[in-house]
Amino acid sequence: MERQSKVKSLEEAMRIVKDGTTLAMTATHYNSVPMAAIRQIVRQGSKGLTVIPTPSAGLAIDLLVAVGSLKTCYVSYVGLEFLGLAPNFRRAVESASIEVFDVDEPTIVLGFKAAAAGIPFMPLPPYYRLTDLPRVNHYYREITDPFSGNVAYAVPPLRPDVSIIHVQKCDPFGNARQLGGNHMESLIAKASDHVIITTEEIIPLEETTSDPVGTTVPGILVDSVVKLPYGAHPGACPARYDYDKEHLKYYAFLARESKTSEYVKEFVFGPRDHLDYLQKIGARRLFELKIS
Amino acid sequence: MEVARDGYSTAELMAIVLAREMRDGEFGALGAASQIPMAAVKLAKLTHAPNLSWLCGGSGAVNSKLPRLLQSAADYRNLFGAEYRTSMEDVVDLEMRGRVHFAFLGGMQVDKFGNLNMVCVGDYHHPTVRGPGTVGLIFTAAFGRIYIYLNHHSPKILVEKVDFISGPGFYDGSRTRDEFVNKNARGPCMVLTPLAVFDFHEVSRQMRLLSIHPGCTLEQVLTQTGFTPLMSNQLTETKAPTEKELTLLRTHVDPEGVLRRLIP
Repeated sequence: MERQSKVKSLEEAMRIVKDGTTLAMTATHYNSVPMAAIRQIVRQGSKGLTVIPTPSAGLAIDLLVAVGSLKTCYVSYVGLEFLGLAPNFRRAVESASIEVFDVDEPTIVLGFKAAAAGIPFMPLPPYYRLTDLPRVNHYYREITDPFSGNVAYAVPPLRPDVSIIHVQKCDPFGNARQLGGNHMESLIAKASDHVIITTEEIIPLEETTSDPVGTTVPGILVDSVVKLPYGAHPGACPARYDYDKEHLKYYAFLARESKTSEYVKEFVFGPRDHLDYLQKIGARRLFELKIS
Repeated sequence: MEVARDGYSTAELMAIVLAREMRDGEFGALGAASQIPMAAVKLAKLTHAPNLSWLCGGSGAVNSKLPRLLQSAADYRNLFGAEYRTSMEDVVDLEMRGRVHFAFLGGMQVDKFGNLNMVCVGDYHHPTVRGPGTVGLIFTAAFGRIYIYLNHHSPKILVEKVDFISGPGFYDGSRTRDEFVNKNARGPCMVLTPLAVFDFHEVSRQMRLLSIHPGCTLEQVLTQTGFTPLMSNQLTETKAPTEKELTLLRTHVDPEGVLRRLIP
């Protein structure tokens, strides 16, 4: 019997994201954000999502907020880095139209770690007492360190229903290779119940087996593989292409002016599919962004 | 507000002021949108601190040798010439355990005890400005020393009391902080702005004006600060860049002149 490929179409793979799903995805600021998959979530109209972003996220969250798909967000950093605050996120929190759990970098990383290892909670050091996080987020529980008797804080595991991880290379069985930065993709995969890899290219299994050390997310954790060249655009894909600064500035401008719907109409619902989106961006721009 | 000077820009002066503070043999960290501290560590390594090591934010690069100042510390090109690429998990381990001797941090609000806020302006539940979030500011309680740097000096940023503590500085000025922080975490040691340099009084732990940049005035600093800072009895003018510092900065660290445009 033949081994079964996990390669699916974008539409097929994203059907697992339903109303109320808890979602995670890769992002280190503008790097490796699975934007093509996010655009598909917007097109299929999933609502009531809870998002557990990475410690430094923004673009995907802001878009999901703008279209009303996001209900709850864990927040370590949600912003547009050198383009300032995330306008739709900012307005939504200021008007209390989304629910926010303020956390931070170690809480997310170690929360994922707890989910990955299947342990009941993660202890954090006593100095959380000096911040306002435990005051505003009831997930921080003050506990007594059973060994030293000192104050500590417990936080629950962060366990996404679905995670979307963007990489440069993946074989048909889900063995993925992240080049350049490490965006804790293997940790996110281990923490999640269902893992979707979106990949710039699909490589043969032989390329994986010729260098197994280069696999950064093992196929045993992966449910779907979707081939999406330039699938992180307008963000960057390390070792492949740079972020599209002009496009990002255009997004940020419209978002600040409360006109994200124009952007969504033009770039999310306008194109028929991902390749049509790339056609709209244009070969000239895409080649200019290429890191060669 | 910023003063254009003959010969060097404010951002270049700030990078050089920070570079002089760097100590040989230490390990430091910087975060997103950090061109000024990035220039400072690169310059210090070329002058008096060849054994200094540094982590370039989201790129994970340890000891990047990229001869450019990129807009994003998370840009993968910062891995050029690096010795190691940390993962996000590595970063949390290194920082939480207290292996980082110094770091550069900022905030939407900084108060007179050096507490940092990136969460909200106004009431948490009804904020007038919702910020991006706390990110890694908790590590103010784990880093050896904190250099607070701001690209703007304004009474909206330098406030009497922050509306939310994301990163504890000296908390309420009492010794309470010392009971909870890591053993070697000595708290904020400097606040650097486009106008001036502050440190913190050893006993009261309040921000203290140490030097005013060439071309700026005391009145300007006081008007633009949202509380009355303590005054050092050695209050002086910030030492201008030397010819050697400026030349090295422009030829080896920032050949594209990013710092000349960042804060003129």
